Amino acid sequence: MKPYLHIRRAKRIEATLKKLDIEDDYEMVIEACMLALTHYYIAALHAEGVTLLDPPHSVSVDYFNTKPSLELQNATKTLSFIEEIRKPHLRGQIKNTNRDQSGHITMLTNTYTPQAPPYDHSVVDKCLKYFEEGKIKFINIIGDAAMQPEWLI
Amino acid sequence: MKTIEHVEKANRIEKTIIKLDPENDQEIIVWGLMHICSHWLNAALHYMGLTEWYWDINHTSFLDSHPDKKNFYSKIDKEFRDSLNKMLTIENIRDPYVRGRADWEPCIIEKAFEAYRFIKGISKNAIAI
Repeated sequence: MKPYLHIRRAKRIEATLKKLDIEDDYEMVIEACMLALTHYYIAALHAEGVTLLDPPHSVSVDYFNTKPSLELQNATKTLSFIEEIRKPHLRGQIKNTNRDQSGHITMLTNTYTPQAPPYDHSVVDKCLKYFEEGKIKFINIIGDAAMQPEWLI
Repeated sequence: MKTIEHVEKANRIEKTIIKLDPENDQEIIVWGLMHICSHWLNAALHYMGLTEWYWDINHTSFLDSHPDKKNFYSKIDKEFRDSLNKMLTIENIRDPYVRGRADWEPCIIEKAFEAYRFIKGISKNAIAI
């Protein structure tokens, strides 16, 4: 899908996001951030020529023809954060961690504990902050590719 | 998650979805319906003893990785098979209309709501809430 089409879809989702309450609707706040940011992310991937395909998640690196720029890799961290928090808050899957004796996380595992954490204002706040931050970074990378060709108007 | 936790999560997301406008918020409506249905299906599957509380399906494709796939499919009845097909209907709407470029039409959103009503009805009956 062309970058401007991803941006059009992202803007529609953002318009819905603005209608949601940060606490009452926090599950869909997280999902709207993830979906809209994924569209910006994919548009940035296309703009850099990393892939012409539309990977559904930031971990889908098998879609890539070339390596994304450091700028794009850095921006992708904001999306990765949102992708991680949606698992416990939407699906009730808390990622298991290995900790050292003092309780510090030493490793994230690929297994999950089935439990939905309660609403956490700081998490949703961080999600919205990362969304805004990621969006600006992706838009900078997309640049002129965001423009809809005149002959398509 | 446990059956009751799935039901609570489904009810919470449902409250969000019914506030939205089917003409302008289709992407999040469909996405939310997908989550709601997934929670109802998991709740019913756990309640009926067809899946363990710690083994949830996020999408219908997850059923292919069920530890006892052969027995699982032989145990589910027609109503539940129909529910899984309805879930597939929502998943198939998601790709072109949420992730892709397809333009929305009223019949698409109605199809998603119809699938959701079906899944919720069957699942609710199964767990007798």
